[in-house]
Parts: sequence; C-alpha cells; structure tokens
Amino acid sequence: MNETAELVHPRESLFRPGRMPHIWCPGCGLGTMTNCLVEVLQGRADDLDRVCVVSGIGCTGRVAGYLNLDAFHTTHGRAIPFALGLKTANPELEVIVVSGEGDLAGIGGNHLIHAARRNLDITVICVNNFTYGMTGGQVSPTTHHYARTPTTPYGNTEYPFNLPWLVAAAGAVYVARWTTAHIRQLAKAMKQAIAKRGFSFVEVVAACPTNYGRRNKLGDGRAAMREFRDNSVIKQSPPLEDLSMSLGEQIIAGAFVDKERPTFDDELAALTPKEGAATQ
Amino acid sequence: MPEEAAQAVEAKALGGGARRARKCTIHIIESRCKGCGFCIEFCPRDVLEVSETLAPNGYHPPYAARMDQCTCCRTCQLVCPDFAIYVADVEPASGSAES
Amino acid sequence: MGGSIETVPAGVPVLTGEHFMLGDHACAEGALAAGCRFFAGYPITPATEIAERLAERLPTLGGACVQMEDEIASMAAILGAAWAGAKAMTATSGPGLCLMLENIGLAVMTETPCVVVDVQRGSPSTGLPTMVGQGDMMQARWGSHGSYEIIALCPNSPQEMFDLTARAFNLSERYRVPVFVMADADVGHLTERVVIPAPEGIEIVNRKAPTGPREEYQTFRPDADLVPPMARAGEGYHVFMESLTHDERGYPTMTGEAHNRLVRRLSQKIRDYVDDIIDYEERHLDDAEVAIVSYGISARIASRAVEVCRESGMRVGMLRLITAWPFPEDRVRRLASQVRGIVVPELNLGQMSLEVERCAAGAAPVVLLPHAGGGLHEPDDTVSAVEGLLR
Repeated sequence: MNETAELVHPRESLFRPGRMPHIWCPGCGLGTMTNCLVEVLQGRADDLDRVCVVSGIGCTGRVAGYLNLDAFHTTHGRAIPFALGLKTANPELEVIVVSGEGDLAGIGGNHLIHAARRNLDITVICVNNFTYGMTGGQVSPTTHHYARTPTTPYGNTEYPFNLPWLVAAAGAVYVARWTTAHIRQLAKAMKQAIAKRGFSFVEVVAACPTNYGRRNKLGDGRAAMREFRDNSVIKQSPPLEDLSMSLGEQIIAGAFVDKERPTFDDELAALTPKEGAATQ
Repeated sequence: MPEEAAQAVEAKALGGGARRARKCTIHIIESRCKGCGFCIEFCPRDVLEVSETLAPNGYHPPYAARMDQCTCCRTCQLVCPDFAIYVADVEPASGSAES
Repeated sequence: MGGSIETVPAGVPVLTGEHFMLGDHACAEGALAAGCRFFAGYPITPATEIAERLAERLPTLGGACVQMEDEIASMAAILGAAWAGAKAMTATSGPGLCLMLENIGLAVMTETPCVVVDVQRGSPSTGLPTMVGQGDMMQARWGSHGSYEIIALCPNSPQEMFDLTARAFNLSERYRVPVFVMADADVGHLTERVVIPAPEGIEIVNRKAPTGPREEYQTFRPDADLVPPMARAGEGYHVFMESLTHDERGYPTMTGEAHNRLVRRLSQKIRDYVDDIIDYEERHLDDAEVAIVSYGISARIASRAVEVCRESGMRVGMLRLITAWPFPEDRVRRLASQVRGIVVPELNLGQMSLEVERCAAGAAPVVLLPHAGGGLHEPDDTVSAVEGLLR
C-alpha cells in the first residue's frame, strides 16, 4: 500500500527525527547493515539508554548520526580509543563502534589491534566496501589486488588485509564476517557480538556501487547483492588465513571465532587495590 | 495502481489440525525509496515488482504484484537500505483461511 | 620506581599538608584534588612521571589510568571518558602534543572538558628530551586547524603545578574547552615545597548539568553564557556529539551560516569571559620604566633580573603570565603606553613576544631575548637588555 497518510516504519523510534532519507547512495550496503543493527537493538528487552554508538569518518561513519542513542561522530580512525575512554570511565555502558574498513584498519589500524589485544569489551562493526567511498573511491587496506581506483589507476599493486585473521590474531574473542546479502545471519551475528563479553568484531562485506563497483565493473547495488548471495559460502571453522578476498572469487562468510578470555575491565578490576567507577 | 491487498495465507499445521490464517500488509514510504531493487531481488516469493509510479524523488518504488504469495517473512523490510518498505501484521483469524 | 621520594598513599584524594615534591607529581596531585579520575597517556620525557604517579594513585581512588598505544589514542580516550562523565587528563611533551592536535580540535568542536599537560622540552623534533624549552606556546594556541580559543596556564614552580592543574580542571568544566598546562622540563623536574590545602580549601567547578525533560534536551543548545549544559552518556539523553559543523541538536548542518554561528560562539564563550579567565602576577610595575614580560621557568630568571636591576637603581618591573592564553591584551597595551620598553625572555626564538609586540602596537619597543632551549637565560643577559632600553 502506498498512501499519503502517515506511514511509520516499525524501527522509526531508533532514528533521530528528521534525519531520513539518509545520505547513502541507491544500492549502498550501509542502509542494509544499519537495518540489521536497528533490528537487533529494537528487539532488546534491555534499556537502550546504556547503548553508545561511536563512529569514525566516512560513509559508514555517518551511522552514529542517524541513531537515536548516545552517539559520537569522532575523528578519522579514532573511534576505538574514544570508545575505550567511554567504556573504561563507565563500564555499565554498552559501546558499539560502527565504522568503515578504511577508518578502522587504515588510519585506525593501530587502535584496532591494540583494542583486540586488550580484549576491550566493545563491539566493532566494520563495514568493508573495499574503498574509501566518501572521498571518491580511493584504494583502501582491503581493496582487492589489481582493482582500479582513482589512486591506483593502473590497478592496485597491493594485497588486502584479511581482517578476520588480523583481528583474531590480535586477540579478539568473537570474529564473524557476513555480507549485506546475509541479512538474517548478519543480524544474529550483531546480536551475538553485542552480547559477547570482550572484543567482538563483525566484518560486513558491502558494495559501493557508486565508486568501487562502477570502476571495477561490478554492476549496480542489486547486482552486487546478487553476487554476494550467489558467490559466497558459509563455513563455520575455516582456517583464518584462508579468508582473504579476491575479485570474482567466492567470499567465505561465517562466525569464525567465539572464545573466552578475561576482558580489559576484568583485569583492571582484578589488579587494582580498589574497585569503582571512574565517574564522579 | 499498486494498492493495499490484504491476503490470508494458509499455514498447514502438522498432522492436519486447525488452519491458521495470517495476514499482513506491505507499506512503501515513497519519499525514501531510491529504487535499488533489493526488495524485489530478495523476496523469496516473488511478490514485488518495480512500479511505473514516478515518486517525487525521481525513483520508481516497488509494489506488491503478487500479494497472495506473501508469507510475511519481512525480508523486504530487513534488506531495504532506505527503510522505505515495511510489513505490518493484520490480526490473524483462527479457523478457515479467507481468500 | 618513578623517583618517588615519599610513599604513595592509597585511597586519599587530597594529600593535605606540606610536601617536598617533584613538579610532575604535584601536577598529578592537583589533578586528583580537582576530581580527575581518568588519565590516558603515553610515556614521554619529561612528562612520564605524571603518568606514573597517576598509575599508582588513580586505581586506589576508583579511577582509571591507561597507557594508550600512542598520543593520538590518549587524546581520544580522555574525550570518551569525559563524555562518560569523568574529569579526564593527559600529559605529554612537544612531540606528543603534535600528535594530539587533531583530537584537540575535536575537543574544541564538541565542547569536551579536558586537561592537556605539556611539559615542554628542547625542540623542534626529538630535540632535547631531558632538557628545558618553551617552544610549544603557539602550538598550544594554534596547533589544530581552524579558528578557535583555548585556555593555557603556565606554572613556574611545583606549587603552581599543583595549583594551576587544579584550576585547569575548573576552567575546562566551566567553559567546556580543552585547557592546557604549559609546564616545562625544569618546572616538571624541580623538587620544591608544595603546600596542599584541605579539601574544603580547594574550589571545585563541575560542568553544568542539563535541566528539563530528557526528550527536550539538545546536545549543543547554549545557555545565556554561551556554554551548553552537558549530559553524559548512559542517562537517556541520547547525546549527539558531532565533529561536523552542527546545529544545536548536533545535526550536521553544512551551511556557511551555521558554520559561522557555531565557530563564533565557540570563540565568544571564551572571549566574553577573559576577565574571569586571565591571570597574571605583577612585580614593581607601578613606577617601572622597563617591563619584563615572562612566564614559566623563564619568569624565575626574570625575577632575579628585576632584583638586580632595582638594586642598581633601575626602575624595572615584571609582568608574569599565569594564563598565556587568552593573552592579556589590555594589560599589555596599557603597559606599553606606560614604559619605555619591554623585554621578553623566553626559551624559544620568539612566540609570546609576538603577542607582546602585537599588543604594544609600537607604543614601546619590544626586545626579544631568544633562547633555543636546553638551558635557561642568565639573569645578566636580561639585565643587559634592560640597560639597553634605558640608555
């Protein structure tokens, strides 16, 4: 039914008033990722007042601004240390970092691996669209080898990060990868990651049809989604070193790491003479 | 053109017990739709099609062409990047399915 | 470990009493007395002792001290902690301050209270890590991109390391702006008498809390004093901390008009209150024919030079900047119209002297006594400069 009477999306209360329609391009995977996230958040029995969303700079970084939660649009690459400050000063907060792979693994790479090493109790949702989309589609640390971007006009000479392997090796206790075509699994993984104590990392493979897709002849958003659906395979415990991605090759998706170890907060509390929150 | 079509879908209980009718309606917020086609691509029952309606923002939103096939799975609602389509339940009726 | 002379006490926020204390340690104690309960930093000479002292003290007070992976992360972490409601601080030197600049801009733009201690050393670059300098004064003021105001205080002793660090927190809470404590390697590593008052004797200022219903709260809607009340994360206010140019709700608003309105308010909220913020010390200025304008460790040398000059009958006085930023423009203007010349000894090749020159506007000659750092001026050099002006 298309009608002029007021239509209210069931997840509307999770968006700041007046912020829709959002800035993302037609066929961009970010909206689908956000849809899965609000689906998970709306479904919680818990109070959402404790949930904080921290994002960096880039198209994915805009997520914080749309959500009607405590939201922080920080500087490029620095969402994770900001999140550390929030969480350590008030361990009651549930802190979710949502940012792109360029922000988190490029400029922010150092903070990513240290937070995983610390087993900081936050959730990181890393949208990997293989490019710096906001600035026009430049090469990023996960751009496919040989791909064309405006800063690699003759083809990318470099090899991409295998993010699940990197983050797992650094110490993350929950690592998963899903594409934006795997909406049910992605929502479930987000729910698990948020509930998980410790550093949880969900890589969300998404398309950037406007920049990356166009230059590498990957078609529009719908074609990219079709490719994600038809050319991916779900594996439960693959060797992490096998999770690299190349253009045209099958994408391995799944929940790869789910283990336990003491969190950053646990150790702070255990080894200090006196417990207590840092806020006044 | 595309209009509301409430439709009951038969759900067969195991062992052939009482049937439960389930109804829902699909709503499209035309001002948000950017015509990406995800909902059409991912609907498992082929319910949706591109409409010929030209929304004020220049895109062609979808419409429910085969509402009788809709199982109210909400894939369209969840896959939509623009929060432009959602499914609303209508009160389920017990007993025989309506058609 | 850490060079502590005294045993570090547990669970006592204010170490009331007389101490023989390292400047860096006094800085840490000033922070704790003001209510600081979160520190994030990175080791760097000559500021490391601040982190080490807080690493011992903060956990016993229910606070947290985290050594981050770099200074960029340190600055980001204290902003996050501030939004969780904590009073937060970092401490560094010149090279680390360079790395913090982008997030200092974030603090300004998002009006996040925080304190940044810079124990200056020989610069530029790696320079002289263990030796004194005053080369970051302009960096503190203008290091981040854009037009903005900050507050910077200059301690000249371990006592002032305590007093001014505590004051820095109060100023940052009152004005929702990053406040710098511009110390130096000598003040940081001097051990001197520090008197810490009883808690009742220490003023504490807290950021304005929001009033009114949560649903009506707007993250950046200012009061009449141009400072917005600050909610904290986790209390249902759904704050929207936005680094892009934003309106009062925090919504990104990319127009020149909105940008002009926001950027000017961020500056005006400081400029309108310079009388409350600016602090300086005057010695023998009433009848002075020559004034020395100095700050930090250089002001102690200048004090000696004033004594020597007065003993020889020269009418010399000193204006010591306790706040370097905002700069005391009016005071310097009036001074320039009174005296025959102004001498500015500083441990750089001319930074605050440029401000003095600007405000003197030709009313009196300004003589810079530069020094690249790594040592202090000789009082005799300052005396000679004074003599030159009186000739």
